[in-house]
Amino acid sequence: MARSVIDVSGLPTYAFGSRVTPWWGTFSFCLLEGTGFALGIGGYLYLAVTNKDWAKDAVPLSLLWSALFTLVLVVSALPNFLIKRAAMRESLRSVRLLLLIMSAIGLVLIGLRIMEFSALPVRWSDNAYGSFVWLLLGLHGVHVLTDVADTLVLTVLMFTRHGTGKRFSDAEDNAFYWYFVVLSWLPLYAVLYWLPRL
Amino acid sequence: MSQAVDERHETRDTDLDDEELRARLSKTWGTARGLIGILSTVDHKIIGIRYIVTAFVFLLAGGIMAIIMRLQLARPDSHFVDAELYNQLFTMHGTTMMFLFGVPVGEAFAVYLVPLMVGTRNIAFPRLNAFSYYVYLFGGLMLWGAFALSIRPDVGWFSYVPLANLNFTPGKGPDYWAQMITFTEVAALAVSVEIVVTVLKQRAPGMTLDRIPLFVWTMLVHSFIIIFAMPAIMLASSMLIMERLVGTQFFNPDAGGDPLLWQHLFWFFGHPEVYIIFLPGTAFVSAIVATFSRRPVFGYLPMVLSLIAIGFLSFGLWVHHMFVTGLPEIGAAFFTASSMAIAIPNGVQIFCWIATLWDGKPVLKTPLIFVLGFFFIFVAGGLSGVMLASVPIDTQVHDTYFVVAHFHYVLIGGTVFPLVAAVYYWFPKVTGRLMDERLGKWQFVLAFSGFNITFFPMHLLGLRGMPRRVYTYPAEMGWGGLNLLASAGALLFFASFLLMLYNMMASARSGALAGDNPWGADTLEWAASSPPRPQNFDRIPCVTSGSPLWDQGDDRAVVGGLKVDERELVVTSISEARPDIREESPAPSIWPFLAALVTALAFIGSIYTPWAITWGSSVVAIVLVAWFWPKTIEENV
Amino acid sequence: MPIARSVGEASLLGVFVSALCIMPAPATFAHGAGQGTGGWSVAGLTVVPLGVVLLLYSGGVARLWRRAGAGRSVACWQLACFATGWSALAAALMSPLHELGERLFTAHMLEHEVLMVVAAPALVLSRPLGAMLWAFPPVIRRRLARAARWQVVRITWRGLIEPASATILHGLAIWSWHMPVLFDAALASEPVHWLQHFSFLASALLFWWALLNGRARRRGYGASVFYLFFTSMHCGLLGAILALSKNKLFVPRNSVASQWNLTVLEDQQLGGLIMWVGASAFYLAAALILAAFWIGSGSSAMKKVAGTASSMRD
Repeated sequence: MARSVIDVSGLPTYAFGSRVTPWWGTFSFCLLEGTGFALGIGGYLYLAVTNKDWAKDAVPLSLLWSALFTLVLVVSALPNFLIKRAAMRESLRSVRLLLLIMSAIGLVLIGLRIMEFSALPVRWSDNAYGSFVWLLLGLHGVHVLTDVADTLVLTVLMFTRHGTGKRFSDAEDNAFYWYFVVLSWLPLYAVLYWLPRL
Repeated sequence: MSQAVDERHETRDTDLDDEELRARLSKTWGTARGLIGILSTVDHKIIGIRYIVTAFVFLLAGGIMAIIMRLQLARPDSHFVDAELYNQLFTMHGTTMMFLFGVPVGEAFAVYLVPLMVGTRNIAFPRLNAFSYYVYLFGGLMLWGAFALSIRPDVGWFSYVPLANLNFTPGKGPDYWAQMITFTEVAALAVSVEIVVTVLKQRAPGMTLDRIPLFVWTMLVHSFIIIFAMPAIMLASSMLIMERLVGTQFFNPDAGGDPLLWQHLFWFFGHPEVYIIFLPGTAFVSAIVATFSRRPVFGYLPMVLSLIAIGFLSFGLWVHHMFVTGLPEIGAAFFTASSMAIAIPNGVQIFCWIATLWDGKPVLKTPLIFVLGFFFIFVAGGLSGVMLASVPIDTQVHDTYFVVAHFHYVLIGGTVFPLVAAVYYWFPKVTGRLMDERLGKWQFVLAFSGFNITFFPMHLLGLRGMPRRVYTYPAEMGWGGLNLLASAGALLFFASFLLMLYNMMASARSGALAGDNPWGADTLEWAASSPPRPQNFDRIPCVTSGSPLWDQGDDRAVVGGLKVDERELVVTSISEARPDIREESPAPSIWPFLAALVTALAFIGSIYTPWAITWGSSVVAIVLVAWFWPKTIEENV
Repeated sequence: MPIARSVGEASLLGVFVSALCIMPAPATFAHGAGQGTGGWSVAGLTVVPLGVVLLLYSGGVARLWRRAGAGRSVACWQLACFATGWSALAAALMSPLHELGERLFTAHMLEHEVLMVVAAPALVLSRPLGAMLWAFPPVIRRRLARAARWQVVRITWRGLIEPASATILHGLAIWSWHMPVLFDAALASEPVHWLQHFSFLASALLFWWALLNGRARRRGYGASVFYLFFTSMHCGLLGAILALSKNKLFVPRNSVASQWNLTVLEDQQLGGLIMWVGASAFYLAAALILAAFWIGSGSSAMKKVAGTASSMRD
């Protein structure tokens, strides 16, 4: 006859950070998407070191919009950090406010990314360099777009009756993913915008 | 910090007796009737079975392609099929076997078995799991539907550029191929994420790292390999389709690209792919060898470390598929050495299994017999692999039937034989009935002889210079006799699968009743009833050893205090598996199915116009919001 | 061990002091000074800092062992690790390998790998800082220990040895220095070359410290296995790019590749292969050892549970 030994009735139904399963899901997706970025960069560098005419193809990209994008993105890590903290304190007011800020930042970033594309001196069909620039910029752009959409939905959600309990854990998870969007941009920025200038 | 807020009174499992608990939990975790219910289910067992059945249907389809090719090659100068159709056949055979059977079937078993083995009630992210199945199904249907409509890829399962470029292959075949790849790899990646999280966070309390069944360890490493390898092929197939549809220049040497870039990306995935296909086979072998030797697998720690080593090494070796593409000569010794290094962890595993059998009292039931067949065939394949790892030999036999023989020995020996063993082994768990032993042994005779008669002669054909991927050959080459032999063997081998199919169908109806644990095995899936109820376990077990069913006897410790009327499961800490959270597991939902459907339509549309991606993704986004939007206030707690 | 632990936790200062002592030597004076010494770079400042570290360590160990008995407080295996690490450093920076590295890319890569995957982990395993502190007279020792307890030092140190940040920092050092511009600059200018070796060694020390001694150790090394895999993957990628390159990226002045029957390009490819295949083998070995500890750690903590499962709730 089975005997009950471990009583789990007092355990919480949600928590934050790496204690919960969604964190590990997000983490795994960061890993596989990060691998995608790394391989994209790898392909770019592979062509750069095997193609004798790469230097000729690799026209430096305009620094203006990308610098603004990078700046806003890096600065966004701060409200993002605050969201994480507010979510863990389950402070609905702060989370709502910060989510609004993050949504606005996200929309600005999408605008800046569009400007980045419009300022590109190469088209994807010009040469392999152009193809890679568009691919990498687009790949990261999709990540920005996805997380901004996620943030917008979460913001709306937080202003409905659902803005309680486990949703704070979701807000924290969303903030965690945004760090990945920020971190993954930095090597891409270095490779796309600075490597051809060296 | 969070706290358990449970003001409302809710029934806990400790409040009920066994009978009532079982009935109430079955209701909570059950799947609704009707079409909507069927399409909405998130039960890992139902989805796992769908995965397995679908993978076997694709196995049959790929097998029929193989039989047609063997009929064509049986005689020299044959005109049973023409060159064009032959190209389509070997492309579809390879693609189906690798992407629609080889990868999914291993994950399918994991979807069904891992949650049971770690003692939880459902897989992590069950809706993602449902989504992944539909994506896989639609991906496969897309490829085969196009095939039926005569839109057929014919550039090999690897679609090398420049052959796969628009100017050499103008049809839509490679586009369907590329989109199917991207699509089904999404499914594979989703499942690996679920498996990783299930194994790390949902193990039964007390299942510390050194008590995780070897099967589960293997599937964990397998999932990590997928997470790091599959993005490469997704990137590559997306680049290929962009090259074909919007005129990018990644692989065009005249515009700064390089066709070899395709090969690097493809094989960065393609080599780990071998282990992605092979590791589930070893997982089956570990489980079966332990059960039928009546002792735990010898050398638990070396086994796990070998798995981790295989995980590392599988990423270092991709270039050995490219020895003849003009790699730096200086590297040959390095590549050979690192290719051979992977023989060490594989060897450790083989020796541990042999030691287990040696020390135990082996019971020669059909599953174990197929495992013994695996030893023989896989070791033979490994030996020809060691030969191929050497650059000079590889250069000599490259693109001949020697290579064909080698990888069929490895893949069929390494995967299909353990897979058949696994079908016989877990069939009673899934259906509650045992498969017929006598037919099983006949099947082995057919399969083992059929396999060797088919593929052993291919070694000799390769050494005598017969190239791969030729649709016919002139009589004066003298290859006719061995080819006829190989074709006869292929028919035998194919017949063995028909026999298995018959055995499965007959046994499902009238096989001997199995009971919960017909083989006297030691892992937790055998503690559930056969077939398992929707909740898997009425009370979550608490694990105190690596072989819980052998060591615990009647005094089985369990978890108490979970809600009965909600889908609650125990989330535990990673290393020590201490209970930490009572997490709500998502309920059935139709949205994963709809999301997969919309995504599939967007992908098919994208083959004809790039705008389909833009429009499609907006619709997908709407569906996803609907998927994740909480339906009840309870979902928030 | 207890002493090493009490001080070691916040010894940022120590790492940098010792790294600074070791590093400038070969870079500033060894070049050209090695002539007539059979290829050994034995300029004063090469020998002195390495010697100082050695003296401090052996002095500290001697004093500790006099007090606590031989093999106590600093174990023999720690001593052996220090000896291995120190010899590896000496071999990389003083032996003929160093000079050859200026002319042969492969030798330079070998030198860097010895610093990063042999010397660094061995030194970290030996946890030498506690012992080195004991070489100082009590007053200075106390002052140093107090400095290590400053808020700023402690927070910085804790941030640096967070496994994720240490891994990223180490990766950053490796990738940046392999950009042709910086690599050439290192070969052309002594201070830059010093900075290159310094950042390799210092970031490697941090990396291994984070994986072997820091929080990863308390969490049972699972994370360490992951970070080793991650590092072996990105180093493998970089190594592969170098090995597959058809362009000459790094051209040492007065290359001696031809004396070794290599073309300049082959020299570069061989260096890439050492990073790709060679270093990966070290990371794999380390990962397997740590995985073994990790897997073993689970149930040893749970042994008590067997009969009294109720204790699992704490």
